[in-house]
Amino acid sequence: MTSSGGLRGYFVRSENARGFSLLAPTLILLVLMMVIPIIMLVARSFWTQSGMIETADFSLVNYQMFFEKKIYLYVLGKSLLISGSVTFATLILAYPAAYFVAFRVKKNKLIWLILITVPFWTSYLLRVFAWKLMLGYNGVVNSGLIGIGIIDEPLGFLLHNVNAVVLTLAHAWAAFAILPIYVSLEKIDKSLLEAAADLGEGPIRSFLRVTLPLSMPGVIAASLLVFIPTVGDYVTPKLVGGSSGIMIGNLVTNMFGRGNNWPMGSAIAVMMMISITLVVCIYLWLISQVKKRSN
Amino acid sequence: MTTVAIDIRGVSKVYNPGSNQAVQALDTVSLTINDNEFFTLLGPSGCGKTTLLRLIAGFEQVTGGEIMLFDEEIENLEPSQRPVNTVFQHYALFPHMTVAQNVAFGLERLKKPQAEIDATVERVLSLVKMKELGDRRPNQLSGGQQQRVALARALAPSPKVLLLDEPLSALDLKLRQNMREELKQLQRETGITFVFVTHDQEEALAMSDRIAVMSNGEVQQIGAPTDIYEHPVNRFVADFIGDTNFLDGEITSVNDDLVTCRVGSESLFEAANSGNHSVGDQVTLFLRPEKITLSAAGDASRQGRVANIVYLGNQAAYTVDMGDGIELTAQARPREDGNLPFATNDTISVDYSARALRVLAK
Ligand SMILES: Nc1ncnc2c1ncn2[C@@H]1O[C@H](COP(=O)(O)OP(=O)(O)O)[C@@H](O)[C@H]1O
Ligand SMILES: [Mg+2]
Repeated sequence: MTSSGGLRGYFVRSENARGFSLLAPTLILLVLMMVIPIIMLVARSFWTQSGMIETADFSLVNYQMFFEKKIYLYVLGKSLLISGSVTFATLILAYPAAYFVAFRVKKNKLIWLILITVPFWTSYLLRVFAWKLMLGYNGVVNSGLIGIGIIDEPLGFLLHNVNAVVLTLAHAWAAFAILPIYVSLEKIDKSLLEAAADLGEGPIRSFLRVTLPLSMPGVIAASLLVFIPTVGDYVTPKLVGGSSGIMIGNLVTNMFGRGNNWPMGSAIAVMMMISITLVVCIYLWLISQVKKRSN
Repeated sequence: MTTVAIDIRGVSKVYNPGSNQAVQALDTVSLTINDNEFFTLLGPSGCGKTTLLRLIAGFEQVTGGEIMLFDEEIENLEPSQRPVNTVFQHYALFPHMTVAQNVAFGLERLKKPQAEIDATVERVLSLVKMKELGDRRPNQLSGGQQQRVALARALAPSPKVLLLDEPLSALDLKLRQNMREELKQLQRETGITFVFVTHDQEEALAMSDRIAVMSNGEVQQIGAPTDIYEHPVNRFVADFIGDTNFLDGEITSVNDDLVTCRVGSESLFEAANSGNHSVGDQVTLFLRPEKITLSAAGDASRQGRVANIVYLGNQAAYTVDMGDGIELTAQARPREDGNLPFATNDTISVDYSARALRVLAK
């Protein structure tokens, strides 16, 4: 063995140095792509903009504006509500699908999972447009209903409203909910369900007393995976939401685009992050309370 | 008068019928299990014990035959509707519930007042000596404790029949021996019919009122432990239960109560005549090691040379070469000073009564 001196020796001896050097690629990427942009965003939210001139002096003027003009809080609140509904709708759609693959499919589960996720290999934008075609004035749903004679005139309320946003987002994020729920269902020991039946419970009560509680970790993970990113979505509301389906992400893009007020846009984004964090914390706290109760 | 708890009539079970992976797990099995009986299904791994238990519990459907529970056909009853409870091989305790909640699981459906449920849970938990641990989660328990909880959970709804699938196999030796006695006692106290599955012959002999020995999906023999041990009907049963010496040979003469049999080229053995034997029959004789007495070479009719010794603590197993290609295994206790009575290559006397040597059909 060679004597371990110098830099090499330091790496051989120091557990921490080795750990950091192994983490380095991820760490650098994370700092470059996440930490620095967020610091820049927070910093800019305290700057001011008048006309074309951006002033890098500390000021709370953007936050003052945020709370004074009711529109910001209103749209933020609505976005949280929309995302909440999206999360709920996604779970309702995803749970049966995950359940089906986990318990009813006996062979080729992998193929089923791939088939379920295939639609999600296409561009997000394409999928939103697909819903536009489905729900539009001359879209698939309307012409189908007219074709079988249920309605005479196209329904106008399908597109350009909150419902269209919820439907489109729920579909777009379904795969992200199906997979974690599937994993938690798949992990359930099948003999537990036999034990429940053995002790006299029918299928519905077995599900409520055994399957559902044991799959809750997957449901919670799925709800976070869907809720957090959908709050800030701006493509779907822009394409299918109309004026009533506008969300906080649209206000942010506006400020960074036509509005040309990056500091204000940053402040809105920061408020959005804070409120998401708060909602998630409250959600997880509620869950822990429910868990404590059941003991 | 004995009541029949479970009547299994010509039951067959084929898994994946019609496919190239079809497995005949049970082949026209018939047996009756009496009320209040400790009945054991004994056989090597893969012989169909679990399958039979699952058919009784209702987790699988019979391919042929029928199962009667207290004179009622149960084929159309869901597992949840059958008055039987199961202690699963790996316990299958609900991980998200405490011990007490696990035990109460089968009681809540009965819509009893909460106080009554609590009382039952407490009573059953103290029956299995787990009263103090009601608030624990299953993952905070040792294997033996989980086993007790599984037992308590299955006993709580007062089933008419308790099915136990190798409940002791995951425990270490000492605990297993303790649990044997506790289970047996529990069965006597509760008067519930136990159907106990095991591949451990010692366990079966120690606990059972009656044993069904199974192999390859068929029942080989049903009887009390002494019956099975002393009068096995075939070589499989004799071999599976306990240690045995087998001698293959041909009957050369038949008396009223003894037959003479030629083993090897010229050795003659006398054995108990169990009837239906005639000169020229090819038979297998069997002789349990503990029926043989070994002593220092003397005037005994048979002598042999010690070929091998396996020391077991309270005794030693001696393999004795009797010449003519015949070996017998026998046992001897260590002497008071702890030394073994014979050494390898000693010539010793081998005594046994002719009645201890039995004839098995080939
Ligand atoms: N679900 C099943 N599908 C196909 N074959 C099975 C199934 N369960 C058991 N078998 C087969 O049936 C036979 C009996 O199995 P089992 O009843 O579990 O035996 P034991 O409990 O005595 O070890 C074995 O050959 C086993 O491979
Ligand atoms: Mg088994």
